[in-house]
Amino acid sequence: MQSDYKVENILNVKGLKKEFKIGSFTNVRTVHAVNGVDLGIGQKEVLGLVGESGSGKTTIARLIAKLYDPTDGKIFLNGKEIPHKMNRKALLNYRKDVQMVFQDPFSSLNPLHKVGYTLSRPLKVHKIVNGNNNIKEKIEELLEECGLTPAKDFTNKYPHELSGGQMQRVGIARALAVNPKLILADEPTSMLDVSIRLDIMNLMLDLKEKNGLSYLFITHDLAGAHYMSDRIAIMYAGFLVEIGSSDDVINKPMHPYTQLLKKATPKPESGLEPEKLDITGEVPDLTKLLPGCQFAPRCPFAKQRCSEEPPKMLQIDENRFVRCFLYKH
Amino acid sequence: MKTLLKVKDFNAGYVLTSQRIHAVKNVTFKLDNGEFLGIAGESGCGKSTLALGIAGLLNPPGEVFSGEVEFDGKNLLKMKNDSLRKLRWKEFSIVFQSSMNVLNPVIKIKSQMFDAIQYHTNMPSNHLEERAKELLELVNVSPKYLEAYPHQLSGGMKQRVVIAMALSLNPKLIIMDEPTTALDVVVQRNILQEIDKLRKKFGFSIIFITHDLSLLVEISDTIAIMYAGQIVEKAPSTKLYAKPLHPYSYGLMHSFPPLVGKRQRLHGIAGHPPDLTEDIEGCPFFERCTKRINGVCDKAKPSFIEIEPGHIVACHLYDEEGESSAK
Repeated sequence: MQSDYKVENILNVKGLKKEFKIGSFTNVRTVHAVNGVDLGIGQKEVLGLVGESGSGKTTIARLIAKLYDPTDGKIFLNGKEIPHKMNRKALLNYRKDVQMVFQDPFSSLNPLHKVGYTLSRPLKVHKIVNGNNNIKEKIEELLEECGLTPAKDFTNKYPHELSGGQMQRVGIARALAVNPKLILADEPTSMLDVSIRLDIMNLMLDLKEKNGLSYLFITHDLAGAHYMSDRIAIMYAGFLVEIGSSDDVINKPMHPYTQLLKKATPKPESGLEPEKLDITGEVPDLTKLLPGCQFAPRCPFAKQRCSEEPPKMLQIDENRFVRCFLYKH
Repeated sequence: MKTLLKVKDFNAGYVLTSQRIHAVKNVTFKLDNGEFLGIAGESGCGKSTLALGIAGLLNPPGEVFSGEVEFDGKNLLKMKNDSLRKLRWKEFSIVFQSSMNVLNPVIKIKSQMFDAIQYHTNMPSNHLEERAKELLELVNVSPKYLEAYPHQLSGGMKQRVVIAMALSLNPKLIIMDEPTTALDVVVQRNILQEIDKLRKKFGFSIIFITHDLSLLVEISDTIAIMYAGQIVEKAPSTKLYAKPLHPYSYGLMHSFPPLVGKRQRLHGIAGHPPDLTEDIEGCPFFERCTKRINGVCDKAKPSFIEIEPGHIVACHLYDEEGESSAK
């Protein structure tokens, strides 16, 4: 499952920032959702992006998918910069390479259209294949690839006739239709039943091997991220706080927040007595960014410096970075 | 230990014009004073219907078909609505998954907390305020939020407030239906620690319903695994973790990738749960089971066998029928 990080990155993100304005008239506030994120995803690599709700992980996926325009920062695909404003043709071209799988399969498929129609749209819009017969063939091929067999039965079904897991498979087939290079998967298993989550994750891993895909796998579940990803990035309050190889981040978490997440995750395999958490508090208010480290108010190791200046991302070794003053700055 | 709750041959479901969904089938279990029972299963396995049915809160089209629920010597199913109302909150209370929606958005936290107390007791109003403060402190929410409206609280705080309300009259039993599913892991862990502390302090029993088996293993004394409306295995959590006997329990236990240790391929449970509108002949897990015995499991319903004291399982692999066909 391990892949080589030195391969040329398919996607690079530099200093990505997104602010949202909320409120109206006299009470306009700015939500700092993503605050200068740098990351890269290699070919055939799965990068797990982990954080609590409100940490900005979905916003990053939507920025990369060009569903939002970034406030600042640059996105490079295959080394080429992607402009902030794109016309329809350029966008279509971009999305041929970058596709998204959404969290909620129940609402991301149009309930009024049959599966066959849903899958025919990307094929037609992106002119992947021409001619009704070819399209039909391609749809069946996609369904089979995603484990929906016999494919002929599924093309004529409406979403409400499918189970949650089957719907998510259709969602994955739709993303796969344009032969993308990168799939942004935004919590693809969190709405599904526990017994079928693994099957969806296994399907995604198989498709990666077969089609040479890369994934940005977004989740709040540390164990799921460990299962899927080659590398894991941890987000807190719109900042990346730690990034490294999957095994390193899980087995030797460096940032106090990663350590907290690891403690909070149920892990019956390491003994039945759950670990005690001495940290309370919740994800901070993103309308008021702190001058220092965002995690400082909850951090058991916080020193005065932590609330005064923001820590920088520190390189520990080749693939390991952490944003914390605990380590040599 | 004294038995607090006895559920016997409990059947419940939903009656629609065109079909009848048999969501809970012949569920029997006992709960001791101070026991923490976890009920785990996939969505649609009937775990919430069971909780609502026990509490007498199953509204139409939901219906309790048959069975007995004996709580502290009283048969809940035979009771009139009025007398049930007197028991709820006071003797047992319920915490739901979406407690964000349980709180009325236009009423202050304070008045909502007073409401349940006032209905059941004649506590004078100056004591009410004190009691509410005390309760909020128990669940680690600052008493200043008494004057707040629900939207001013975060999801985790709202859930804490609802738990505080459930505790307000010192009930003997709290039924929790996925109380932490909508919350982040850190908040979830904090709340579970709080619940555990309170349980040790006040000695109430808990029925905790969730789909997250790995969480249950850590927090509960006893675990019951439900599948297609039936309990298929029940055991002390340490035993169930060490040795799940039912193939479904085994599958569910291994559906969660481990956090630590080597990364290796795992497999979920293929297929999906059976349709509950139809009667199932034999074992409900037959279609998805990897250890099924053709001719036995699809024909006869497995009955409960006690493998060890407190560890029961309903599976033909462990009874005579299975053994004889294996030979």
